[in-house]
Amino acid sequence: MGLGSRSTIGRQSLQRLAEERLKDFEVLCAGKRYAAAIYLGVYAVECLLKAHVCRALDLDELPETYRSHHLLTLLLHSGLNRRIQREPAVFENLKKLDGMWNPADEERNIRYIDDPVRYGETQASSVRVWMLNPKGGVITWLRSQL
Amino acid sequence: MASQPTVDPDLDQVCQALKGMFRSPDDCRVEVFHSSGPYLRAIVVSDEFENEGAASRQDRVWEHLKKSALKPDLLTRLFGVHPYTWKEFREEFQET
Repeated sequence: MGLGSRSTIGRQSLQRLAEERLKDFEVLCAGKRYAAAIYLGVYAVECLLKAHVCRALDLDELPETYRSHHLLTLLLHSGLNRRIQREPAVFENLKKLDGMWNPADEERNIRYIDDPVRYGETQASSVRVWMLNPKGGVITWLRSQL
Repeated sequence: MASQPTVDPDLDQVCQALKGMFRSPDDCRVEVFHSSGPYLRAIVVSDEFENEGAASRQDRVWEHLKKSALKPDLLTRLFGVHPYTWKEFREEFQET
Protein backbone atom coordinates (compact mmCIF):
# COMPACT_ATOMS: atom_id res chain seq x y z
CA MET A 1 0.00 0.00 0.00
CA GLY A 2 1.54 3.29 -1.05
CA LEU A 3 1.89 6.84 0.19
CA GLY A 4 0.27 6.08 3.53
CA SER A 5 -3.19 6.11 2.02
CA ARG A 6 -5.71 3.44 1.13
CA SER A 7 -5.22 2.24 -2.46
CA THR A 8 -8.25 2.32 -4.68
CA ILE A 9 -8.01 1.00 -8.22
CA GLY A 10 -5.25 -0.36 -10.42
CA ARG A 11 -3.77 1.05 -13.61
CA GLN A 12 -4.97 -1.82 -15.79
CA SER A 13 -8.44 -1.54 -14.29
CA LEU A 14 -8.48 2.19 -15.00
CA GLN A 15 -7.60 1.55 -18.65
CA ARG A 16 -10.32 -1.10 -18.92
CA LEU A 17 -12.78 1.17 -17.15
CA ALA A 18 -12.05 3.95 -19.63
CA GLU A 19 -12.72 1.65 -22.60
CA GLU A 20 -15.95 0.37 -20.99
CA ARG A 21 -17.20 3.90 -20.32
CA LEU A 22 -16.44 4.80 -23.94
CA LYS A 23 -18.67 1.94 -25.08
CA ASP A 24 -21.34 3.31 -22.73
CA PHE A 25 -20.86 6.73 -24.33
CA GLU A 26 -21.69 5.29 -27.75
CA VAL A 27 -24.65 3.24 -26.50
CA LEU A 28 -26.12 6.22 -24.67
CA CYS A 29 -25.64 8.47 -27.71
CA ALA A 30 -27.45 5.89 -29.85
CA GLY A 31 -30.25 5.90 -27.26
CA LYS A 32 -30.34 9.72 -27.34
CA ARG A 33 -29.32 9.93 -23.66
CA TYR A 34 -26.84 12.64 -24.41
CA ALA A 35 -26.24 14.18 -20.98
CA ALA A 36 -25.38 10.78 -19.49
CA ALA A 37 -23.29 9.96 -22.56
CA ILE A 38 -21.23 13.12 -22.15
CA TYR A 39 -20.85 12.41 -18.45
CA LEU A 40 -19.45 8.94 -19.09
CA GLY A 41 -17.36 10.03 -22.07
CA VAL A 42 -15.49 12.64 -20.08
CA TYR A 43 -15.28 10.18 -17.20
CA ALA A 44 -13.38 7.90 -19.59
CA VAL A 45 -10.87 10.72 -20.11
CA GLU A 46 -10.55 11.05 -16.34
CA CYS A 47 -9.89 7.30 -16.01
CA LEU A 48 -7.18 7.38 -18.68
CA LEU A 49 -5.49 10.34 -17.02
CA LYS A 50 -5.55 8.42 -13.74
CA ALA A 51 -3.96 5.42 -15.48
CA HIS A 52 -1.22 7.80 -16.64
CA VAL A 53 -0.76 9.05 -13.06
CA CYS A 54 -0.15 5.43 -11.99
CA ARG A 55 2.33 5.00 -14.83
CA ALA A 56 4.19 8.24 -14.04
CA LEU A 57 4.43 7.37 -10.35
CA ASP A 58 5.28 3.73 -11.06
CA LEU A 59 2.37 2.52 -8.95
CA ASP A 60 0.17 -0.49 -9.54
CA GLU A 61 -2.77 1.22 -7.88
CA LEU A 62 -4.06 4.76 -7.76
CA PRO A 63 -3.63 6.24 -4.27
CA GLU A 64 -6.66 7.86 -2.71
CA THR A 65 -4.77 11.17 -2.88
CA TYR A 66 -5.48 11.23 -6.61
CA ARG A 67 -9.20 10.62 -6.37
CA SER A 68 -9.84 13.91 -8.15
CA HIS A 69 -12.16 14.87 -10.98
CA HIS A 70 -9.93 17.80 -11.83
CA LEU A 71 -8.51 17.06 -15.29
CA LEU A 72 -5.80 19.71 -14.92
CA THR A 73 -4.60 18.29 -11.61
CA LEU A 74 -4.53 14.81 -13.08
CA LEU A 75 -2.65 16.08 -16.14
CA LEU A 76 -0.02 17.72 -13.93
CA HIS A 77 0.51 14.50 -11.97
CA SER A 78 0.50 12.35 -15.11
CA GLY A 79 3.85 13.70 -16.30
CA LEU A 80 2.30 14.60 -19.66
CA ASN A 81 2.05 18.33 -19.10
CA ARG A 82 4.94 19.38 -21.35
CA ARG A 83 4.21 16.72 -23.96
CA ILE A 84 0.58 17.76 -24.39
CA GLN A 85 1.62 21.36 -24.93
CA ARG A 86 3.52 20.21 -28.02
CA GLU A 87 0.16 18.97 -29.32
CA PRO A 88 -1.92 22.18 -29.32
CA ALA A 89 -5.06 20.55 -30.74
CA VAL A 90 -5.05 17.85 -28.05
CA PHE A 91 -4.39 20.40 -25.30
CA GLU A 92 -7.19 22.65 -26.55
CA ASN A 93 -9.63 19.75 -26.66
CA LEU A 94 -8.70 18.73 -23.12
CA LYS A 95 -9.39 22.29 -21.99
CA LYS A 96 -12.79 22.20 -23.70
CA LEU A 97 -13.66 18.91 -22.00
CA ASP A 98 -12.50 20.33 -18.68
CA GLY A 99 -14.62 23.44 -19.23
CA MET A 100 -17.70 21.23 -19.53
CA TRP A 101 -16.70 18.79 -16.82
CA ASN A 102 -15.33 20.71 -13.89
CA PRO A 103 -17.05 23.15 -11.61
CA ALA A 104 -15.97 26.76 -11.74
CA ASP A 105 -16.55 26.61 -8.03
CA GLU A 106 -15.73 23.33 -6.29
CA GLU A 107 -19.00 23.38 -4.37
CA ARG A 108 -21.23 23.85 -7.40
CA ASN A 109 -20.62 21.10 -9.82
CA ILE A 110 -21.60 21.57 -13.47
CA ARG A 111 -21.53 17.78 -13.92
CA TYR A 112 -24.82 17.50 -12.06
CA ILE A 113 -26.74 19.83 -14.36
CA ASP A 114 -29.19 18.13 -16.70
CA ASP A 115 -30.12 20.60 -19.40
CA PRO A 116 -31.05 19.27 -22.86
CA VAL A 117 -30.00 22.51 -24.54
CA ARG A 118 -26.57 22.57 -22.95
CA TYR A 119 -26.03 18.80 -23.18
CA GLY A 120 -27.79 17.54 -26.30
CA GLU A 121 -26.93 15.72 -29.53
CA THR A 122 -24.74 18.52 -30.90
CA GLN A 123 -22.71 18.66 -27.70
CA ALA A 124 -22.30 14.88 -27.65
CA SER A 125 -21.02 14.98 -31.25
CA SER A 126 -18.51 17.66 -30.30
CA VAL A 127 -17.40 15.68 -27.27
CA ARG A 128 -16.85 12.64 -29.51
CA VAL A 129 -14.61 14.72 -31.80
CA TRP A 130 -12.69 16.21 -28.86
CA MET A 131 -12.12 12.75 -27.40
CA LEU A 132 -11.73 10.45 -30.38
CA ASN A 133 -10.69 12.39 -33.46
CA PRO A 134 -7.65 10.65 -35.02
CA LYS A 135 -5.86 14.01 -34.89
CA GLY A 136 -6.31 16.04 -31.72
CA GLY A 137 -8.59 13.61 -29.90
CA VAL A 138 -7.68 13.51 -26.22
CA ILE A 139 -8.38 9.81 -25.77
CA THR A 140 -6.67 8.98 -29.07
CA TRP A 141 -3.58 10.79 -27.80
CA LEU A 142 -3.71 9.45 -24.23
CA ARG A 143 -3.95 5.89 -25.58
CA SER A 144 -0.88 6.49 -27.73
CA GLN A 145 1.11 7.62 -24.69
CA LEU A 146 0.41 4.61 -22.48
CA MET B 1 -2.92 57.26 1.59
CA ALA B 2 -5.33 54.56 0.58
CA SER B 3 -3.68 51.64 -1.16
CA GLN B 4 -4.74 50.84 -4.72
CA PRO B 5 -5.97 47.34 -5.47
CA THR B 6 -3.27 45.34 -7.22
CA VAL B 7 -4.14 44.27 -10.75
CA ASP B 8 -2.35 41.15 -11.96
CA PRO B 9 -1.44 42.05 -15.57
CA ASP B 10 -1.73 38.41 -16.68
CA LEU B 11 -5.23 38.07 -15.28
CA ASP B 12 -6.19 41.41 -16.78
CA GLN B 13 -4.94 40.43 -20.26
CA VAL B 14 -6.93 37.21 -20.21
CA CYS B 15 -9.95 39.11 -18.91
CA GLN B 16 -9.74 41.69 -21.72
CA ALA B 17 -9.27 38.96 -24.34
CA LEU B 18 -12.38 37.14 -23.11
CA LYS B 19 -14.44 40.33 -22.96
CA GLY B 20 -13.50 40.94 -26.60
CA MET B 21 -15.64 38.03 -27.73
CA PHE B 22 -18.91 39.76 -26.85
CA ARG B 23 -20.97 42.24 -28.83
CA SER B 24 -21.92 43.95 -25.56
CA PRO B 25 -18.90 43.74 -23.24
CA ASP B 26 -20.69 45.92 -20.68
CA ASP B 27 -23.32 43.20 -20.20
CA CYS B 28 -20.85 40.45 -19.45
CA ARG B 29 -18.84 39.48 -16.39
CA VAL B 30 -15.43 37.87 -16.63
CA GLU B 31 -13.54 36.56 -13.61
CA VAL B 32 -10.06 35.14 -14.15
CA PHE B 33 -8.38 33.39 -11.26
CA HIS B 34 -5.35 31.28 -10.43
CA SER B 35 -5.68 27.51 -10.54
CA SER B 36 -3.09 24.79 -9.84
CA GLY B 37 0.53 25.89 -10.33
CA PRO B 38 0.91 28.52 -13.06
CA TYR B 39 -2.51 27.81 -14.52
CA LEU B 40 -5.49 30.13 -14.76
CA ARG B 41 -9.22 29.56 -14.99
CA ALA B 42 -12.05 31.86 -15.96
CA ILE B 43 -15.75 32.26 -15.39
CA VAL B 44 -17.51 34.10 -18.22
CA VAL B 45 -21.09 35.28 -17.83
CA SER B 46 -23.13 36.67 -20.70
CA ASP B 47 -26.61 36.27 -22.12
CA GLU B 48 -24.95 35.90 -25.52
CA PHE B 49 -24.59 32.20 -24.51
CA GLU B 50 -28.40 31.89 -24.39
CA ASN B 51 -29.72 28.85 -26.32
CA GLU B 52 -26.18 27.73 -27.02
CA GLY B 53 -24.98 24.31 -25.89
CA ALA B 54 -22.01 23.68 -23.64
CA ALA B 55 -19.82 22.34 -26.45
CA SER B 56 -20.59 25.20 -28.81
CA ARG B 57 -19.74 27.65 -26.03
CA GLN B 58 -16.38 26.00 -25.53
CA ASP B 59 -15.67 26.01 -29.29
CA ARG B 60 -16.59 29.69 -29.53
CA VAL B 61 -14.50 30.70 -26.52
CA TRP B 62 -11.37 28.90 -27.70
CA GLU B 63 -11.73 29.94 -31.34
CA HIS B 64 -11.97 33.53 -30.19
CA LEU B 65 -8.98 33.22 -27.85
CA LYS B 66 -6.82 31.66 -30.57
CA LYS B 67 -7.56 34.64 -32.85
CA SER B 68 -7.14 37.21 -30.09
CA ALA B 69 -3.95 39.09 -29.28
CA LEU B 70 -3.47 36.99 -26.15
CA LYS B 71 0.15 35.93 -25.81
CA PRO B 72 0.72 32.21 -26.51
CA ASP B 73 2.11 31.56 -23.03
CA LEU B 74 -1.03 33.00 -21.46
CA LEU B 75 -3.19 30.94 -23.77
CA THR B 76 -1.27 27.86 -22.64
CA ARG B 77 -1.71 28.77 -18.99
CA LEU B 78 -5.45 29.32 -19.36
CA PHE B 79 -7.01 25.99 -18.47
CA GLY B 80 -10.73 25.71 -18.10
CA VAL B 81 -13.15 28.44 -19.16
CA HIS B 82 -16.61 28.15 -17.67
CA PRO B 83 -19.29 30.01 -19.66
CA TYR B 84 -22.68 30.81 -18.10
CA THR B 85 -25.73 32.87 -18.96
CA TRP B 86 -26.76 35.27 -16.20
CA LYS B 87 -29.66 32.98 -15.23
CA GLU B 88 -27.40 29.93 -15.00
CA PHE B 89 -24.80 31.89 -13.08
CA ARG B 90 -27.34 33.08 -10.51
CA GLU B 91 -28.75 29.57 -10.15
CA GLU B 92 -25.36 27.93 -9.74
CA PHE B 93 -23.81 30.53 -7.53
CA GLN B 94 -27.04 31.45 -5.75
CA GLU B 95 -26.27 35.09 -6.25
CA THR B 96 -29.20 37.39 -5.58
